[in-house]
Amino acid sequence: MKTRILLADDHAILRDGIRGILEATPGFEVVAEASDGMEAIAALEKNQFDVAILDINMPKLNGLDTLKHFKSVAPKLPVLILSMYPEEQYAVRMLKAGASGYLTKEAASNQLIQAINKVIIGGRYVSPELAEQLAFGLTKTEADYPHELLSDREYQVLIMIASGKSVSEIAEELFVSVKTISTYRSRILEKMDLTNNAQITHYVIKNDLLT
Amino acid sequence: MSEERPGKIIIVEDEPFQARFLTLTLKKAGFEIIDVFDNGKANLDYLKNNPHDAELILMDIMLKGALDGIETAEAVKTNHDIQVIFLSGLTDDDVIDRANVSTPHTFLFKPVDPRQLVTSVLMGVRSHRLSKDLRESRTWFSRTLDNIQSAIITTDRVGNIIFRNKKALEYFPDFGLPQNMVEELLVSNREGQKINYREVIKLKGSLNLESVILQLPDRNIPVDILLASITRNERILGYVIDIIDISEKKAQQDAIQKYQIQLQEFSDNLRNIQERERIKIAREIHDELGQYLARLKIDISRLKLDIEDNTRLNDLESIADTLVKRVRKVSSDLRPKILDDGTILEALDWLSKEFSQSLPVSFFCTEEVLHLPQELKTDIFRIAQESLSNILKHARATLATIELSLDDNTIELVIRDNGIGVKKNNGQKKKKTMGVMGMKERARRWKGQLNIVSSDNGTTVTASFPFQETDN
Ligand SMILES: Nc1ncnc2c1ncn2[C@@H]1O[C@H](COP(=O)(O)OP(=O)(O)OP(=O)(O)O)[C@@H](O)[C@H]1O
Ligand SMILES: [Mg+2]
Repeated sequence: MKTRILLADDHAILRDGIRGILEATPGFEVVAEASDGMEAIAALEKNQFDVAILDINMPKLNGLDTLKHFKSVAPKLPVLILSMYPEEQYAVRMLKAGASGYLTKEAASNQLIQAINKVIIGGRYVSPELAEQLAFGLTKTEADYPHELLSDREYQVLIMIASGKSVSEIAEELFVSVKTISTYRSRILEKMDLTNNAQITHYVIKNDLLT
Repeated sequence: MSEERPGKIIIVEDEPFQARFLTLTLKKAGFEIIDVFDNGKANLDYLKNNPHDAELILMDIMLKGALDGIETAEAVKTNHDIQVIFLSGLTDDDVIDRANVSTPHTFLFKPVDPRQLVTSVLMGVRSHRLSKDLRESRTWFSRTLDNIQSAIITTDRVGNIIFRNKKALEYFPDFGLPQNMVEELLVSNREGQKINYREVIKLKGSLNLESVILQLPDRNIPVDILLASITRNERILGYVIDIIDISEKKAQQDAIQKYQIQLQEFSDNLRNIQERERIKIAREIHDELGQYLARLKIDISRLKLDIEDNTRLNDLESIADTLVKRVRKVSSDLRPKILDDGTILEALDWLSKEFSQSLPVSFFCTEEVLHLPQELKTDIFRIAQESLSNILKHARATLATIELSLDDNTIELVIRDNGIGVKKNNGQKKKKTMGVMGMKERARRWKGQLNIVSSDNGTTVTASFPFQETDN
C-alpha cells in the first residue's frame, strides 16, 4: 500500500516541486492537490489520506484554520505543516493546534521524506534545531512538574528568589522595575500553587534546580 | 536771552513816540519786533495772514479806530494762541476788570519803566512758550493714544475716569463713563474668589489679565487687560487700564491649531499607508519570491541525485539557501509576520530574540495575555523596535530590557539600556533625525506620551498609552 498524500499549497510552482520529490520516492502517492484551504477540506471529504501537507499562507482559509478543521473531522490524520515561515515563529503554535510536524519549504528537499515517515507512524517532526530548543524547555505545552509551567523569564526569577534575593535586588540585577518583578513573583507563586518565598526555596532545593 | 530764540513781538500803539520807545527798548533787549500797528483792525488783518508768527502782543488799550485794545485782544484770544500784555495810561479799575474777563493779562502802566517792560515781555514770551509746549504735547499724546489699537482709560485713585482714547470711546459709546467696569476691574470676583486688584496693583505696580472676555453692550470680545498704577513718590495718583483686543490673535491661534491637527492627521495617515505598503511588499517578497526560491532549491537538490559530480550544484544549493534567508530577513525587517498573527507579547518577545543576536535583550510583561487593536500593537512594536535600534546604534550597551505593563488603564512600555546615555553634540550642527520624532508621534496618536531619560549609566525610554481593555 502506498502512502496517500493530500498536498495543499497555493503556489503551483512549489506544489510541482514537492510533488516531484514525492513521486520520485517509492511508496508515496499524491492523491489530491489543493490550492487553498477550502479545496483541501473538499478533498478530505472525498478521499482517504495517510497524511496531509498544509501550507500556512493560503487564500480563502489559512493553514491554521484548515488544520483545526482537519483535526475536528479527522483527528487521526497526521498533518505536516510546510511553510515559508521560520519555525521558531510558527512551529509551536501549529503543534499546539494539532499538527504532527513542521517543516520550512527550503528544508523540504532534504527533510520531507524523513518527516512524512515519522508522522505517519504517529510521531512528531520538527527540525533538529527546534527539537533541541523544545528539549531545553523553552516552550512547554504540558508539564510534569509545576516549574515547567513557567516561561524562561519566570524560571529565571524563580531561581533568583530561591537563592534569597529580594524583589528589588532582582529588579536591579535584571534591569527592570520592582513592579515588574513583584508581578512576576505573584505569577510564579500562583502558577506553582505556592504562597511564599520560603516555599519557593524549598521547592527549588528539593528538585535540585540550583545548579 | 542768550540761548533762547528772540521773542517775536507785535506792538499795537497809536502814539508814534510811545511806539518808537517800545520798539527801541525791546530791540535793544534782543527781541524781534515783527511789526507795529496803530489800530486793532490792522493787527487782526496781519494775524489772519500770518497766524503763526507772533508770540506776544504789546497792546495799548486806548486805540483809535473801531476796536479798542481790549476788544482787539479778545478777538486775538479767540482765534490765536498769542500772549497779550496791555499798556494803559488809565488806572481805572473798570478797564482792568474788563480786560481780565477773557484771560488774565499783565498790565503795564504808562509811563513804562524800560526794565519792567523787558522783564514783563520776557516772562510773557516764556509763559507763552511753556503753555504752547504743554498744549502741543497734550495733543500729541492723545493723538498717539487715539491711534493705538488698544483702549486706554486713565482714572484717578478712586476710579473716576479722567481720560479715554478713541478706542475706549468706541467700546463704551453709550454709557459715558464705564464706571461700573472700572470698579469691576479694580475689585472683581474672578472664579468665585474675590480679588482686590487694587491691592494687587498696589503691591506689584501692575496686573495682567490674559484672555478675559470683555462684555460690550453689543458683543463680547476676548481681551488682555493691563492694569497699572500711576504713582509719584509712592503715592498712587490713579490707574491706567489698557485693554487689548486679541480676537485676531485668537483666530490666528485657532487657525494654527487647526493646521496642526491637520498635519498630525496627515502624518498619521502617512504612517498607516507606510505600514500597509510594508505589509504588502513584505508579503509579496516573502510569498512570491520565497516560493520560487524554495522551488529552485528543491530542484537543485533533486538534480544532485542524478548527477555524479555535484560540487557546483552544492554551491548553487547554498546560494539558493542564502537567498531564501535574505528574502526572509528583508521581508521581516519590513514587517514581521508575527506582528500580524501574534499578540503584542509574542511580537515583543520575538523582537527581543531578534536583537539578542547582537545584544542580550530580555522581555518582561506583567500581563500574560493582552489583546490590542492592530494599529496600537503596531505602534508599540515600532517604538520598541526603534528604541532597540537606537541602543545598537548609539548606546554601546551590554544589556537591554523591554518591559510592558498594564495598570490603571494605561499601557506602559519601558525600554532600558545600560549604555553611555544620550550625548549632547556640542556645537555640532544638529542633523535631522526621525527616530525619536517618529516614536513621539506614535505615542501622541493614542493620546499617550513618550519620555526619554538618560544619564551616564544608560537610557530609559518610556511610552505610555491610555487603554481601556474590552471584553472580547
Ligand atoms: N539609547 C540611546 N543611547 C544613547 N544615545 C541615544 C539613544 N537613543 C537615541 N540616542 C541619541 O539620540 C539621537 C536621536 O535619536 P533618533 O533615533 O531620533 O536619531 P538617529 O537614530 O540618529 O537617526 P534615525 O533614527 O533618524 O535613523 C541619536 O542620534 C543619538 O545620539
Ligand atoms: Mg534612531
